[in-house]
Amino acid sequence: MKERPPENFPGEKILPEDTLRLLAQVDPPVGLAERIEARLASTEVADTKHVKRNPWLFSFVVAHPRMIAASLTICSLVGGGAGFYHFHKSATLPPPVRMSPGSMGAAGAIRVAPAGVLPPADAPVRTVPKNFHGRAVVQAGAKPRPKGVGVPNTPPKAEKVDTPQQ
Amino acid sequence: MGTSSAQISRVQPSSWMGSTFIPDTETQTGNSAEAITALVEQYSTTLYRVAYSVTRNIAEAEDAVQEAFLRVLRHRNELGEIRDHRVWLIRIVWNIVLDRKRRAKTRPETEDIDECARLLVSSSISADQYAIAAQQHANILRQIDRLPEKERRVLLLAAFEELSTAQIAEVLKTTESAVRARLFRARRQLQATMEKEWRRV
Repeated sequence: MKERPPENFPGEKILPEDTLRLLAQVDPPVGLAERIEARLASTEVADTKHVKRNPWLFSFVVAHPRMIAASLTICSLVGGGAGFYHFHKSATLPPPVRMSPGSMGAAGAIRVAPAGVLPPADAPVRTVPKNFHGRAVVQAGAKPRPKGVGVPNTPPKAEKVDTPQQ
Repeated sequence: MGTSSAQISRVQPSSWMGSTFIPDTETQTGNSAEAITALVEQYSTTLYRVAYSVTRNIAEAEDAVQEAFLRVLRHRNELGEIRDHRVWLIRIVWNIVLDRKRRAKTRPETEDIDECARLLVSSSISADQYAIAAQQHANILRQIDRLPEKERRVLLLAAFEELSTAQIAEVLKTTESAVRARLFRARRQLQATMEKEWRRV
């Protein structure tokens, strides 16, 4: 880049290094340092306001109570909201069931013999044994059933009573 | 251009470093206030030039310099540990402008280049010469913008006479050999493109 452009190029050429050199020597705007210091001052004052010590609280930093108050407020808001939206009555649970061995579950199962079924005390006593061969059994001393069509027994007719004519 | 503690302490603090500091750290803060004021007085121009070489916008460059000093203010307690304040400050402002440029990629830079090119031309020449020179500067700036990013950064920083290769390497967090190699490639590539441009014209 130190070589000048060839002579056959018309006009005066500006070399890249000239541009770079001029770029590195640009004059800053007037009052740059003052503006920087002013901005630093404003930032510094803002910072010191936040961490200024309070003599009444034994040099307890003022920023801390604010932070604590803010966090408490946020916590109460969040907790209150959560309580409001997630409220439900807690159900009372029944007392726990104590399972006797063998009643439920396979782990505690034991063999229990079935109890015999007894008839009720006022049940009629069967005198004739039950036929187990499929045929009817005529009891001794039983009358034969009448043959033919059965006629229902009619009640005796009442006597005709004359009623006076009017 | 180096800064010693004696130089810093000679500069009187401005009025903004008043009595608003916490008593137990008053001495320390007062010293850092003086140091920051000295840094502003001494390096604001250099930082502005570094920022302007990247942004090519007066307002943005000034804002970047202010932001850099605000960062210094936040880390004022570490000022004593800094070996070279100039390189440290240049690195801060360099990172700020690169970060801002990365965020504002969509903003058109054509107007900034033309404005910057006009700023580079001396006003003592005739209007015709002024226009031609401004156009040539603008062309060169556009060619610089077309360079790869790493080469372009080294080229811009190398234009500052007060920055050595080692200091450029410190600002860019790389090695001196890498800086030399990038600078060589950037100059060669820029020369080639400019020769093409001259032939075309």
